[in-house]
Amino acid sequence: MRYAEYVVTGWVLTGAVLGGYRLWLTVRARRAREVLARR
Amino acid sequence: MTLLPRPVNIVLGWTTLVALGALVVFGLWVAPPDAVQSDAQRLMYLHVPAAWLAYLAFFVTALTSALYLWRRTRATVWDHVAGASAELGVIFTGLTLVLGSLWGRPIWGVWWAWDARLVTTAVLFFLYLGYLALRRIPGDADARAKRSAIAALIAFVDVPIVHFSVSWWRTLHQEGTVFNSELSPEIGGTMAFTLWLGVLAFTLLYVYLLSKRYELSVLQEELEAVELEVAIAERIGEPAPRIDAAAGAVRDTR
Amino acid sequence: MTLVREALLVSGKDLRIERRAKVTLSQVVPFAAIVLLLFAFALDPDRGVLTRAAPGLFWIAVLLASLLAVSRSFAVEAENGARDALRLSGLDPMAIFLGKSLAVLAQLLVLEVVLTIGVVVLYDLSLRSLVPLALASVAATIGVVATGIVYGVLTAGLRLRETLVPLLVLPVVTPALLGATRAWEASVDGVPGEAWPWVAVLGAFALIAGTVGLLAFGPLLEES
Repeated sequence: MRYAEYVVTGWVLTGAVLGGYRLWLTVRARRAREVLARR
Repeated sequence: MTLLPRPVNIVLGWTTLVALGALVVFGLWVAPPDAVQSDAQRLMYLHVPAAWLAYLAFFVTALTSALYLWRRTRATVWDHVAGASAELGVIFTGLTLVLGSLWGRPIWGVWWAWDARLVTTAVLFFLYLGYLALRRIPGDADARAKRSAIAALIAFVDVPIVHFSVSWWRTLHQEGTVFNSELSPEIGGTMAFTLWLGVLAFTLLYVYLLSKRYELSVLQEELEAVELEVAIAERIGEPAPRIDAAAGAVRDTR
Repeated sequence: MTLVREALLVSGKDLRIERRAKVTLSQVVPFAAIVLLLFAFALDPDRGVLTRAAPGLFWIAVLLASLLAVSRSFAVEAENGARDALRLSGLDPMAIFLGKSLAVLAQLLVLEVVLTIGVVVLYDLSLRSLVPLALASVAATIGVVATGIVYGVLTAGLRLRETLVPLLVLPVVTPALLGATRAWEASVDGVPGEAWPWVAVLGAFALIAGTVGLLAFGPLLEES
């Protein structure tokens, strides 16, 4: 693939950002539920 | 507590995943390389959907802000959605800018160009950041929601003005035309399909993430209320109230 | 009292405070002048960059100064419950908005005259077509002030407002910076024909900003 470094960087970055955000949301929500349940 | 009913959320999640998977397959493999841009074209399958979503998210923030401000439709759900959509908007706007940069570099040899669309997107990015910073300031939830809503609407009204003045500025300088061929008219067949697939997949992803972010927002509000009760109790010297008592107390005072 | 009368009452109050405290005169104007100086250090004067960039540099200096001027406009009401007093005074919020905007506008126009002299002297700028230049400047300043006053009242009483207001205001007023700079460039080059469209853009921006301000100021003042 021509310009593979740009294409791959772009796609991997997008996946990482969106996937990472989804993960962050899940982790934060779980932590919040734990704190609320504990009290 | 959730924006959409649970079964809808689950179906949405899996459909999004399938759509994104199809996008990867089509974008990186099935779609042919462009005649002019070669494989760099493949970044467009992400850049254009991301840009579309940046503006959609912004529109949703403005719409829900207006719904919150208008007394007849005021409800905290609108405030939560506005904030969640804005956060997603920042992410997609950031992605749009970075992907645009990665696409521009091999094609035009520059990491950035003062093209009208890119500049407007950059301004949009900062408008969002300001809005999110404003939301983060603690205080009375209703006051915070109202001023955030007004800020969102002002920003929304501003975007077309920015776009108009910047695009006029750039056409006067005759440089914008080179960079504007991202959507060349010859795009057709598999490439056009992949682009639309990207728009669809990203839109589904947006709704899915919005739903999850909304849940988190609601949980955070509950957490804030509980922490406030705990802090007050500690100040007074009483034992900290239990969650249901705290939630009940909060609900009573509303 | 009519809207205009009430507005003049408020602007008179703000200007009288300024006349006594002289904050804009003794702090904001020097600040803008220092910014002009800084640009000279940043951009080598010997290479003609300063003269060519002068309109843009002028307007950046004005923008930064306007942030301070707007901040000051609300700082005068920060103590002793003055803002509550303003809210309870029975004055039409639109009049308060107009009055505060007029006061800041007056101060900024004075500042712009001073800075124009500064730019002509320091950056060797020759102004050819003064009418479009002046009109563009007034229109741009009105747009910037109206926007600033709206965000000023929006953040009034909040912690962290000093760092928040610039972040909120500057992206919104980019069309004003754009239009003002282009109008100045056309006026400086002696091609006023190119300036007039930008003056129109600036006028539209001022109108929209003013309208939004008139509508939003009341509700925002209530919440502050």
